[in-house]
Amino acid sequence: MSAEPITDAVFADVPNEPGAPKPDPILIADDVRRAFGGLVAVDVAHVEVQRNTITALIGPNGAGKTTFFNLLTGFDKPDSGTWTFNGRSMEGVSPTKAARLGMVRTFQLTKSLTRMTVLENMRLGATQQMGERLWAAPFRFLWKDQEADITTRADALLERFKLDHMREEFGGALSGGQRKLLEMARALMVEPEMVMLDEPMAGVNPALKQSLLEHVKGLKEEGRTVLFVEHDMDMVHEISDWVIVMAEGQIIAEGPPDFIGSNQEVIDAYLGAHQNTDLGA
Amino acid sequence: MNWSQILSNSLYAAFNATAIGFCLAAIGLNVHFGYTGLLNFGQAGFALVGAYSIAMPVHIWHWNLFACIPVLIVMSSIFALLLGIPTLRLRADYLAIVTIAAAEILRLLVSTPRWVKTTGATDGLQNFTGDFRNSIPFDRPRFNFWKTPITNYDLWVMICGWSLVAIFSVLVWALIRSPWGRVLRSIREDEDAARSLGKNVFAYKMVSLVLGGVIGAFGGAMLAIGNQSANPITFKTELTFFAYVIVVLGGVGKVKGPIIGAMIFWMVISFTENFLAGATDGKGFDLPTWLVDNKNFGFVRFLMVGLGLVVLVVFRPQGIFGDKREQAFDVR
Amino acid sequence: MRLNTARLFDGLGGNLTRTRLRRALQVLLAACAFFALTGGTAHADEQTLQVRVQDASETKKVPVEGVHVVVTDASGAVVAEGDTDEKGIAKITVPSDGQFTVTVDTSTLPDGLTIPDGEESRTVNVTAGLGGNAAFNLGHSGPTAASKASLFPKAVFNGIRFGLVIAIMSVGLSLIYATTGLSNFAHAETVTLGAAMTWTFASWFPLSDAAGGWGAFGTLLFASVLGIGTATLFSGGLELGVWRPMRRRGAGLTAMMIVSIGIAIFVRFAIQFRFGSQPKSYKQFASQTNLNWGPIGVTPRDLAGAVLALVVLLLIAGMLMYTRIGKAIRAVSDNPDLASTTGINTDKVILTVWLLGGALAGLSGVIFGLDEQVQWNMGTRLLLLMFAAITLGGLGRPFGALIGALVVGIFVQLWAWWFGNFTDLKNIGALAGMILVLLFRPQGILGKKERIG
Repeated sequence: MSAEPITDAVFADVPNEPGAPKPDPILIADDVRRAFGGLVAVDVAHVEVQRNTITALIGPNGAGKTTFFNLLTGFDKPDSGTWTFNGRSMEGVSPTKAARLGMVRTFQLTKSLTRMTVLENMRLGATQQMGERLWAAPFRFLWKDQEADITTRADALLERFKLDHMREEFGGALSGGQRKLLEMARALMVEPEMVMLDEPMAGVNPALKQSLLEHVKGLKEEGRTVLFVEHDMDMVHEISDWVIVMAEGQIIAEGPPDFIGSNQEVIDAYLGAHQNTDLGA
Repeated sequence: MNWSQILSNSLYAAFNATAIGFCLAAIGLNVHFGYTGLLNFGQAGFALVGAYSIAMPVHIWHWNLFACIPVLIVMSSIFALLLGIPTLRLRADYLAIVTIAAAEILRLLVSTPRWVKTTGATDGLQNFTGDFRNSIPFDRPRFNFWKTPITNYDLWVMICGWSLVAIFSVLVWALIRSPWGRVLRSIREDEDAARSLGKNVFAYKMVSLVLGGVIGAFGGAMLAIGNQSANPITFKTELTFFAYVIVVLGGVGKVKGPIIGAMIFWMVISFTENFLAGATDGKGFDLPTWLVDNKNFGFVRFLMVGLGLVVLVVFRPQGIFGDKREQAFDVR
Repeated sequence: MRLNTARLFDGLGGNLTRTRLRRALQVLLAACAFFALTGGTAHADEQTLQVRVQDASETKKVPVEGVHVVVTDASGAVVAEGDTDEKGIAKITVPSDGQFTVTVDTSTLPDGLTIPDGEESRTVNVTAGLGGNAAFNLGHSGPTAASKASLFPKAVFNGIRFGLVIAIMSVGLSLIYATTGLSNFAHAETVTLGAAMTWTFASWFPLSDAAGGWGAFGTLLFASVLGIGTATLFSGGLELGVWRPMRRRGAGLTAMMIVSIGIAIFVRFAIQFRFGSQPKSYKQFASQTNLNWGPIGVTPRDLAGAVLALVVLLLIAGMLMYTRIGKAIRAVSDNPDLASTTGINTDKVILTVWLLGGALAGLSGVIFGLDEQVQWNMGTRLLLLMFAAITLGGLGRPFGALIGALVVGIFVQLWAWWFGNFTDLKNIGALAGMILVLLFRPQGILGKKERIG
C-alpha cells in the first residue's frame, strides 16, 4: 500500500468546512431534500465536487448517502432542491439523460446482467450505437463496423480490469468482486466525465481490493472525476483527495482525509454520540 | 379406436390455423416477456384487436379484407400505447394487472349487445373472409392432410399463416441479435442498469410492447380468418395463458421457441381430445366412466395445460429442448 | 406413419403460377381500394328491408314478436310499415334502394321491454340486389327517473354487501402479496374450491331438505366448515408443497406468478371436470322473503352473509393490529429480511398467511355462492375485481385492500344501477377505474412510495 495519501494542490485554499466552495466544481448541489414519510433521508444545504479529483462520500449507515446518489443521478426525485452538472441544471433530468450527459453511476448491489455474457455487458455500455436504433437494427451491415470498434474498446478495458479470460462467461458466473470490476469497466464504456461508485469495495475479497483501488486512481489520471460512497476507511484514506461526511441526511464535515480522521464531529457521528455529550468529552 | 386417424388429426393440429394464431400470439409474447421481461397478461386483448380490426371494417364499410391490414397495425399499436403509457414506468406487476384488465374490458365491450350492429356481440362477426377466399390460388377444393380431409381454404390459411410466422420470426431474430436487442435483454435483466448506462428504457419497452402487440394482433387475425369468425369467446384470458404455456414449452427468449411450443402444444391438446373422445364413445376400448366420460372429457386437456405449465416452470424452465444455462427467466 | 407430402400438396401444380399472379393483382387492387365505400346509385327497383327486433338483455338473444316498425324516406314521408313475426323479423318492401329511416313504435313493445334512448330509429342503407338490414336490441325496462332515485340506497347497500365479500377475498390475496411478493392467480380457485366443496358436502349430508329452518342451517354450517377447511388446506398445502420449495431455490417472482397461473388453470378445470359446468344453488335457502327497511330490501340469507363478512373483517383487522402473529405479519410485509433478523420465523408467518388467506377465500366463496350461485368459474370471474381492489388500495396494504374492495363493490353496483339494462358492462367501470387510478396515483389509495437502489 502506498503510504502517502494523494494530496491535490487544488484543495490548498479550500476551507475544511461543510459546503466549502471549490475552485472548479463539476457538480454543485443546493438545498436538496428528500423525505420518506416523516423521515428526512437527505437534507443537503450546499455541496460542491471538484473536477478531476477523487472525492469520498462517507457517513454512518442510514446517513442518506445512497439516497443522495439516487437523487443526483435521477433515480429518485427530491422534494425540493437544485443541482448542476457542468453548469447545466439537472433538475428533473432522467437517469438516462444524466448518463448521457456524462454522469455514470454504479450500484451498491451490483447490477451485472446475469444472463448476458461479460462481453455483451461491456458492449451495452457504448453510447451512440447505430444498431440500437430500431430501423437500423435488422440490417447488420449498418452497424457491423461500429460493433467491431466497440468490441475492440471493450476488450481493451476487459484486459485492463483483468476480466479478459471471462469474456464469454455469463455475468451470473462472476464472483462478487469480479462483478464490481465488470460494473466499473462497463461504466467506462460510456466514457463518462464523472463516475459515481456506490460502495465499490463492499463484498470484494482483499486480493482484488488493491487492483480496484488502482483502477479508481487510474480514472483520475484519465481526467475523470470520481465520487464514491465507501465504508472502508482504509480505502478512503488511500485514494481520496477530499472527503465529504454525511450524517442524518446532512453534510456535517468536509476536508482532506487526514483532517476528517481527526474531526470530532465525524467521530461523534460515527459513534452516534450526538445526544450524549459525556461520551464526547 | 382409429389410431392413424387420431395421429393424423393431432399432426394437423400442429399446423392448422389455431396453431398459427397461437404461434403468432406467442411470438409477440416472447418479444414482451422473453426478451424485454414485460409481464403482458393481455395478449388476448391484442389478438382481439387484430381480429376485429379486420372483421369490423369489412362488416361495416365493406372494405377489402387486405386493406384492413394497416388498420390492424394502427389499432394494435394504439392499444399498446394506451397500455404502456400509464404502466411502463411502474413496477412490472402493474403492467400485468393493467393488461389483463384491459383485455377483459375489450372482450366485454365487443360482447355487449349494446353495439350488436357493429360487433356482432356474443355471436361475433362472420362473412368477412370473402376476399381471403377469393385469393386462394388453387382451384381444387379439397385436399388430404395425411388422413385428415381439409379444404383449399384451410390449406391457404396454413400457407399464408406459416409465411407470416416465418416473416415475424426472421424479423425478431434480426432485431434480437442486434445492439437493439441487446438493450432489450439488458432491460429484462435489470432496467436500472440499462438506465445507468444511458439507455432510454421507457422507449425501448414501449417499442417492444408495440412490436409484440402487433404480432399478437396478426395472430388474432389469423385465428379469426381460420375460424371464419371473430368471436369474443376466442379472446378470453385463457388465450394469454396458453400463449405463456407455449412460450415456456418452446423456450423463453428463443426465436424458435413459440414455433416449437405452439406445434407441440396443439398436437398434445388435439391428441388428448381425440384419444379421450375415442376412449369414452362406448365402442371398443373405453376408459372407466367414473374416471372420465363423454360429457367431461373436454375439460381434461385444459386441466393438463395447467399441470403442464406448473411442471415445466418448476422442472424445465428452459423449455423442453432448452439449455439450462440459457434460460431467460429467473427460476434457479 | 410418414406424412405424405406429395399427396398433401398435389393439385397445387399447374394452376398455381397463372392464378397466383391474378390473385396478387387482385390483392394489390383491393389495397388501393382502401377508401372505396359503397356508394348508392339510384335504381327504381323495389328492395327488401329486413328488420330484426330481439331481447338482448340476456346473453342469449330472444326474438320479439309483434313489434310495429315504420320506414320513412329522406323527406320524412312514410314509405312502408310492418310487424315482426315469431322470429322477431319484419320483411318490409321499400320502393327503391337508397337511405331510409327505420323507427320502432315503442308503444307496441311487450311489457317489461324497452329500447335504449335515441336508438328507436336508425338510418339504413338499402343496396340494389342486396336489400338492407336493421337490428334493434331491447333491454329490460329501465326504471323511471323517480324510481331510479329511490333505488339508489338499495344500490349502495348491495354495493357494500358485494364489497364486503370481495374484501374478504382481497385481504387474503393482499396479505399473501405483502408477505411473499406474489400475485397469486390461484386465489380465485381457492374461492371456487371453498364454494364448490361446501355445496358438495351440503348435498352429501342433508340434515333436512326443508327450506330454511335449523336443519338446513345445520347442514350448511357443517358443510361450510368442511368446505372452508378444504380451501385452507389447499392454500397451506401449496405453500408447503410449491411456494416454500420454490423460495428455497431462489425462484423469481415472475416464475412463481406463472406457476400460480398454471395451478389456477389446473384447479379451475379440475373443478369443472368433477363439479360440472352448470351453476348450482342452495335449494334450502333459495326462496326467502325480503326483510324491508324503507327502500332497502334484503333476504335474511344475504344479510347474514354481509354481517358475517363484516365481523370477520373486523376480527382480521384486530388480529393484524393487536396480536403477536398480526404484528409479525406486518413486520414481514414491511421487510422480510429485517423481520427474520429480529427473531421472527418468516416461514411460519408466511404459512399462517397462506392458511388464513385460504380460509378467508373459502368463506367468501361460501357467502358468494349463497348470495348468487356456485359455479366452476365463479372465482375467476371475481379475480380481476380482487386485483382491482388491492391495486386501488395500494399493492401489499391489507387495509388498503379492504377500502379498495368496498370502492369496487359500490362502484360496480352503482354502475349497474345507473346503466340499468346493460349490466354486463358493470365490471368495465371498476376495471377502467382501476387503470385511471394507476395513471394518477400509482401507489394506490393507501400505498407508499418506493425507494430505489
